[in-house]
Amino acid sequence: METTKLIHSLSKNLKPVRRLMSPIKRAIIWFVISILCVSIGVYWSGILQKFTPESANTFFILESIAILCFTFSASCLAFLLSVPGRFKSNMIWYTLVPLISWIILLIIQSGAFFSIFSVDLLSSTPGGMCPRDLATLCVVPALIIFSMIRLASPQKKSLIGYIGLLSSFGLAAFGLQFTCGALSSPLHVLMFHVSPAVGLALLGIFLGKILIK
Amino acid sequence: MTKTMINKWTDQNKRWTALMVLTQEGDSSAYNELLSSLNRVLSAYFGKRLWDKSYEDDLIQDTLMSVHTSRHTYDPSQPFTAWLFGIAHHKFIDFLRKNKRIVSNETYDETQFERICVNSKNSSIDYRIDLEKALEKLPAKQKEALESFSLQGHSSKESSKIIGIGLSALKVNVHRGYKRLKTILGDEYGNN
Repeated sequence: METTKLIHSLSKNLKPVRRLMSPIKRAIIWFVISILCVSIGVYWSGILQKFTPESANTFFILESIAILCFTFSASCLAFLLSVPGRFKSNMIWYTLVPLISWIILLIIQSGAFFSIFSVDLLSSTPGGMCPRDLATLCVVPALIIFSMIRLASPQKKSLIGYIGLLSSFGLAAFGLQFTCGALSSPLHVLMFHVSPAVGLALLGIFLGKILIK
Repeated sequence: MTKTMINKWTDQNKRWTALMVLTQEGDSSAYNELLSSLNRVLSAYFGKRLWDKSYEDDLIQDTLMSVHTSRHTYDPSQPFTAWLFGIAHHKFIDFLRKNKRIVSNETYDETQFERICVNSKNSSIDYRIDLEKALEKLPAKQKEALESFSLQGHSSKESSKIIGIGLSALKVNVHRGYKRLKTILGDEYGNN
């Protein structure tokens, strides 16, 4: 088909469209809805009693802030990537900085409390349950973010898939802060929360190709 | 870039933004104007980057289709050119990926086939008869491609139109046909 014919046929069958909201607004909507879903998940899991007021120490609060910042910035990045011409490579730092801060916080904490107790706790806490809980809590936010991304015009599908799933895992990790009984061990958090979140998010590369059109 | 050129570009950007806003509201004449204008810009954009101009039309059409399906994502507060070239760049990268196999593995040298035919040793009547026999041994598509492109001297674009296949398919058929022909004739003539 000639280009002029294509232009003619496209303009002939033109229909008005509803403009998509800005990526940041969509990220806020996703964040609010997803945090509600994760909260319901945490509440229903009935293990909230493991969380005591004593658990909410300074490190816990800082960690929670870092996780939420990381989650929100990752979702912003995913939504920005889904609109042509909106992504700039330096934006990746907005996501990397909170993630690195979270990891640094855990390293500092494990350095301060690195004792036999920590190692014992790492070996005594059943870590296998945490990745499972993480994956469970991540399902709804991931479904929401993928369906929202599909509304836009995503081009780098694998990258968007990875970042989208990473933000969902970040939110799930935030929920896990309240349900995991081994929070006093930063090594446990590094091993069974951070690593699975970053690793399992790699599935997003394939999911992005399949789910995002 | 001179000041006049910058002003011209900024005006063009504003104009495209206005046309796109009208497009989003369903104004087909504005859309026609916008796409026609983009056609020229995209032609220049891809023209600079492509080694084979015959791909230009396909890329422009692909990009215009993407502009059409993504028109709801354009935000008038953002520069139109960033949005447009975001799509165009992605289409170009996508094109490079898809054609990587053909470009790297299926490349062919147009002169190679001529070398076989024009070579003084091979210009004998016997050789031409053998060449025809060898051509008969090739699959129909490869034979057609070689005859049209190499023997009748049509350009690749013309040949693809005559045979009714895509340009990439033609190139693959010519390349494979040439390789096969070289093997058949090479056995008899011991040349390359």
